[in-house]
Amino acid sequence: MRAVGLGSIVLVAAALGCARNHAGGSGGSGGSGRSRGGGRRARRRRDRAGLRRLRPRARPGRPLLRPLRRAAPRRVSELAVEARGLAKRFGRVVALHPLDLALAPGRVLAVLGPNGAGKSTLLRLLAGLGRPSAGTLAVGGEAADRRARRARVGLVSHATCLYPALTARENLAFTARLYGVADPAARADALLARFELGAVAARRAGTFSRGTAQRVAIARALVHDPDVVLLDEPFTGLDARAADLLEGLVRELAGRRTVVFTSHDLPRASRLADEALLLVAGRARPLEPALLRDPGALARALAEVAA
Amino acid sequence: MSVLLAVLWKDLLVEWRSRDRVAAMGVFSLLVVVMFQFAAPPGASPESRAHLPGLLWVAWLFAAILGLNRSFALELENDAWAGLALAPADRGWIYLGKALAALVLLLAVQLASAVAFGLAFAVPLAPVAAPLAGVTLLGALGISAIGTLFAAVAARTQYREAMLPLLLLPLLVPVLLGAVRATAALLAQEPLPWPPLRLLLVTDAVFLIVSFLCFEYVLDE
Repeated sequence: MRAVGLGSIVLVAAALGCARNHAGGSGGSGGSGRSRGGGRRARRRRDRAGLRRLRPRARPGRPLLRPLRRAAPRRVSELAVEARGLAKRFGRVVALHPLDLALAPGRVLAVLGPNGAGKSTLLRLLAGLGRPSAGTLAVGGEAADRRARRARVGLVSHATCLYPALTARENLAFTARLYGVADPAARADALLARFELGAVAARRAGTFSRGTAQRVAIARALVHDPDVVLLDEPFTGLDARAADLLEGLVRELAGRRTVVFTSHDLPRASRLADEALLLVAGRARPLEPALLRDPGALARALAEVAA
Repeated sequence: MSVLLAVLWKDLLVEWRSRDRVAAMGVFSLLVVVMFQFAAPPGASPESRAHLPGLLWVAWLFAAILGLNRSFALELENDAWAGLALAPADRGWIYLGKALAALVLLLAVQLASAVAFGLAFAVPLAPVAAPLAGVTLLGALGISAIGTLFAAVAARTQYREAMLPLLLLPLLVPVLLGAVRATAALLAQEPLPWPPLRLLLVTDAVFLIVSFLCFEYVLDE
């Protein structure tokens, strides 16, 4: 029996190695919060405070939603997004070559480029979904603690992140619970009202049209009132009316939150973005600011670099 | 803790509405009991009946793998995985929520198939119901604890249906050994032996702690 016990410990140790390898490991400078910041308990205290301590934020104009209460965390940057030498590789494949990025609060950045350029990889790194292979990253002023960074970011990815078997309200309330929002049901109802989703609140997400699902996905990303909103090709697959509605929502977000979005819809990108980043084969290419105001020239420039 | 409860609530609600995991696990384990009934009918020799606890646990183990494979499949749909991974909570609590949901479903299946097992093999389970429930809980906890971790690892591999048993079964040897020995003693109307219980307790604790700590990395891309 003792031999079996020892055997199990050896097997568990091997399993631990497997899991770490699967995670792909190395953690860049912006990487693991687990290894720094004075231990798990201290970090947990910080995170809890980061979500729940009282400190209403002042924002210009009418807020999109009543801001949630949040502490003033230890900020390392006044920029909303700051990346230095940020890079990502999957095995031997370099998805993102080292790039620098600095985005002030309230700005809207369009990340443009052909398919496979690394746009989604960049957004998912900014969101805290993966560990950078190299470089440093601060989002919402948070650099070292990935969990605190995740609390400051809302991501709308290609997919909606919704559970088809749950209703819109249940999906939002579940997300609110994950983020430690004080009254998840009330927050879900507020978002449903704000995004005019009351009619589908009790319907299961699996029955939604693409446009409705996308609106719920955006509401989901805003459930914790993030500083930085990341939208990965939000207009893809939407009809003109749904895309216009979504464009209006992004306009409302602009100025109050920092928005980073990827898109192949150049006219919309021109209308919405204050700044643009061009990615080609994982490398950032310089883009004349004037080009952003001219969708035709922008399209020509994109075709040129893609070729 | 609220994250644990939220994930547990979500998993059980999704299962309540679809019932695909419990149905697959339940039907599978009942079918195995029926098949074993043909292989070792109630009138068979005492030697062949000595294997019954092992057969029962193997049936539960394979049923559990069916359910665990499905556990993270629902997170892959619509990339809900990313939604979970983005939560600013300690991901260990997400793991515990998923593992508890898997445990609840497995216990429900074990209850139903234990009754079928008792009837099919004329094994009187009522006199040992309480200690047997304890052993079953410990065994199911071990399976769910490490199974949830490896279900998450296997979920994003190409051959996840085959990958999970390959990763999981070698690790579950101590759980199977402890659970089968304890169950065999109970079915033979003997006092519950301490060594298999100790093995189950230690293995469960190790699996829970290791999985809780590893899950942070497993959810990463």
